[in-house]
Amino acid sequence: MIQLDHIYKWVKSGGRRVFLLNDLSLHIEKGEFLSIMGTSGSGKSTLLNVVAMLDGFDEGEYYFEGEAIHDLKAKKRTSIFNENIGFIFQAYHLLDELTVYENIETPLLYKKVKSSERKALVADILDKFNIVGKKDLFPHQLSGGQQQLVGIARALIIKPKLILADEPTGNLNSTQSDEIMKLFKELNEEGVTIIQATHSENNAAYGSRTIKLLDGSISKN
Amino acid sequence: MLKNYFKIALRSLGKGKTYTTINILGLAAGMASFIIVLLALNYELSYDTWDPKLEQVYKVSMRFQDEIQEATPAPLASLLAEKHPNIEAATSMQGTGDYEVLISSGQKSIYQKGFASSDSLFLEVFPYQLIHGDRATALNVPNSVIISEELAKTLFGDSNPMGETIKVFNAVEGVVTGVIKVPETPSHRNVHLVMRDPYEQQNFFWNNHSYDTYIKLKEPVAEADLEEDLNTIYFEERIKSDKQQGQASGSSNHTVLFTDVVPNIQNFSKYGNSNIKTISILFILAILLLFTGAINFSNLTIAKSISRAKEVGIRKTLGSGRRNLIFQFMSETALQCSISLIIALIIVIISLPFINTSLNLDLNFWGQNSAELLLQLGICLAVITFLSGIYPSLYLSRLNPVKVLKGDISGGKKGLGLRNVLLTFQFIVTAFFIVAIFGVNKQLDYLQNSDKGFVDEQVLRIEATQATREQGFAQTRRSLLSIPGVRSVAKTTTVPGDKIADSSTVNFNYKGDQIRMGSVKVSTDYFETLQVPLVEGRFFNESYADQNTRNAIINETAARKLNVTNPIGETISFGGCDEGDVQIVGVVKDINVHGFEFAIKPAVYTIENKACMYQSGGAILVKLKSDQVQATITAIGEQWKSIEPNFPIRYSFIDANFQQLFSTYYRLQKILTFFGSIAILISIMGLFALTAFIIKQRNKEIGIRKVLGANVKTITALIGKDFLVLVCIASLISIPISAWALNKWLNDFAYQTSIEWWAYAGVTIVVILLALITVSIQTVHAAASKPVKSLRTE
Repeated sequence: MIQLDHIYKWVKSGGRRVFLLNDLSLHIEKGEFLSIMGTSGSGKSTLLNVVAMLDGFDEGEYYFEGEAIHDLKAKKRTSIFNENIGFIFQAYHLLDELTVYENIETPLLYKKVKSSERKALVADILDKFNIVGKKDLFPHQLSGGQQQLVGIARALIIKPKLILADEPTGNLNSTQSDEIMKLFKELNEEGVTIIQATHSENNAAYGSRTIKLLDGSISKN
Repeated sequence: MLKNYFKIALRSLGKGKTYTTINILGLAAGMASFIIVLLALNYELSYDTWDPKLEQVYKVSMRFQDEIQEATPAPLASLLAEKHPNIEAATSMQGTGDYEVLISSGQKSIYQKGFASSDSLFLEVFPYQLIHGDRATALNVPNSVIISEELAKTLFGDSNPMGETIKVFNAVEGVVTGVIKVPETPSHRNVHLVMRDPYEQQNFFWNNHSYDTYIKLKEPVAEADLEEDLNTIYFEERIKSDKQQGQASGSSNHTVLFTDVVPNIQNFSKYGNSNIKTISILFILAILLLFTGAINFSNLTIAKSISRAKEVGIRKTLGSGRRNLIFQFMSETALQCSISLIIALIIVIISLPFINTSLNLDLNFWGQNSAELLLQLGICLAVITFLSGIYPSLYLSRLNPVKVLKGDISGGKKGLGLRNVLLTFQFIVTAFFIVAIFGVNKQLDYLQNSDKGFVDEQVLRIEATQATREQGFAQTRRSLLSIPGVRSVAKTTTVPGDKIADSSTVNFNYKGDQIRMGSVKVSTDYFETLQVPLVEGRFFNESYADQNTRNAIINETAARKLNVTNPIGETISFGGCDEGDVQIVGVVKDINVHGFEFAIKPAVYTIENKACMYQSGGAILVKLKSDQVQATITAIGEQWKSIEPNFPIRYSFIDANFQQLFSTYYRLQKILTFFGSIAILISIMGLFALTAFIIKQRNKEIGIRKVLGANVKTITALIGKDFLVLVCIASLISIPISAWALNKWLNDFAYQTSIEWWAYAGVTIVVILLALITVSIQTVHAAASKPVKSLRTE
């Protein structure tokens, strides 16, 4: 599904290149649940952003389902992202001015899904995540775990083939964390490919494969 | 999608209530002023657009070198109509314009503006709609009269006016043969009564230059071609034949005709003054106001963008494209602008009656062209939305989601340059208005307090017929003087303070030279009545020479023009006159007759018309004793019934007339003060909100600095410094511009106040103080709050 070949990404600092990703090659099969581990600054988030096409890279090749992403224009890349990828953040990043329902609905609006269909999809997912009673609340009225549930529900609403999660449980306690991980496991069993970046060995264990990053390269596969 | 945007827009508006309110109200104030000026502009431009056929009606006037002559010879109209194949009809007419003519019917007598006399073709040229009567024949009968619907109502109420007799000026009788509908738009020539000219035959000769000529074309043509054709006809028929008779002066310099299409006469006439200049300037000022409102918008949105940045980031990861985001932010701006527009409209509708009375205007919001107005407002809304929303939208939609979500947003630094430029622009406008208000006030003060050269208090100006003024004057004077409250009675052909006072000059012969001076006919007591001080020689007395135009009194300007050390005893004579010399017996102080826009003209005062020139017109002046003014006026009114039994008395006070002369300037003063206040309000509100934002952003920094030992003063300086520099720059840019504009305006006056450098310095200080106070209110508050609070929030 994803093929990264010799990816380099750097920033210039005082005339010298500081590598964020350094000759990174990675192959991910459809249906995998990959955990990326590594210390802070090892390049986990950068890698996820590159995979998500939210961020560019300086050298190398990236194929997503056979499509050469490095050759595509920004617009086309955005549309591939919009069709296939759901992104989950450590800090949830819900829209403060929108209710739970509206937050989950927003990606559908950008995909121009019809109103009736939208209602059905959102109702479905609210049900699945057991947050029907909270649909009219605003994010600040929810606990962290609940907010992250909404974040995941929002990522899943477009039925993505791939979920990218950047330390999804970083702000949660261990009980909440386990619940989220179980949910990921379930989703993975339903056929969704998942890539998560995490600090926790415990969380990583939920995955089918774990890689370790060090200074922008894979140190352990 | 729209619903979603709308929701988020409303909620984010609700979030920062203060800023939203400032945004919306500031813009509403700017919009309201803009709409009012727009209404005024529309009104001005609607002149003579009441019928599309007017596009083919032209006024024909004459020009001899620089001299414009709107009055044309009586036969010109019929000559042009006969010779030019494209002219459908031409009419020659005379009108009194704003002069009120006595009109009576049965017992009812009223003074009415808009009297005109014309030949039978008036209705063929002007497309007035007739309510009663037949267009083709209405003016055919001698002494036939057509009147306006309005006048018919006043004179005859609801009964049918057709066939009724109307008496004009208590002299000429006419029969109503038609009633015209009053046009829906204002006209350069408001017509309420048109009479078939009773003296048409006897006045029909070429040397009678006292008619206005209008022509109506069959087919529209280019104006230049029309003028050329008319001039060819005029040259062939008139100038050539005059030359053959040996009457023409110079060979190439001869009178030419020029035309003005009727809808253009009010505002775009080829050689006339017009209101449109003032209104256009006001329009530009109103647009500036609108911009300052829009700037608040842009500035506050950029400042706010930090809090919106996260939203942008999230939306992008949720699949929003740039276009979606631009659309979202633009529609948010559009929503706010629409709210502003609605508030502005409410302000306009509520305040319009007050504005109309205080500015003496006749503006109407629900006028007939409301569709056009709606379109204009729509365009205005679109432009303002675009201007206030485009930069923030582009800026926000460009943000990189990865960076933004990481919290790496460089505090809106990118918008800082533009924000500073916009803020500076706002304060340039503000300073401009302050200078303008100051300058106009100073000039008006100067005019108020300037010495007119005579005492204008308690001087009554009484309108009188020629008979009363001339042959009957001695009798009238005696009769008025018999009233105890009357101090003196005089007459003059040039009444001080009149809107249309005779300002022409004529040639006087002096020592073989021709000198142009104004000639004023007065009566013996004129100088006493106006308390004009004598400089040299003596006033008029009852001597034969004084009373028969053999002696003259001149003013100081005339004395200077004669260029002689002692003008007393010098002789002058009216140009081209062999009826005798006039000896100068006195010099009086200059008196200001025409207001202060014009320099005082050299004047030669004489009594009676016994030396060639015949001058009449003007009015009778009565100086009242200071006690019991009202009783005296009542007594004069009673007396007047025996002096002019057929004409109800019409009087005014000269000092009030002078105030009227200044009324346009008072109007300008009011408008400027109004605009200026709004400009100040908008920019202060903007600065206030902006400071609030900056403080919110730098809250933590302020806390840390306080912990490190900064005091209120240093923190106020820290925040205020940047703004003050901008305001100083704005003042420095604004002052030359406003000084230039002010001088340009002052140049319209012959008598100008001087505006010293310290005045500009004062304005700069005022503007800086305003800004300083605005910034300080909040910084002091922020600096005084406990640092623990702001630091704890992290």
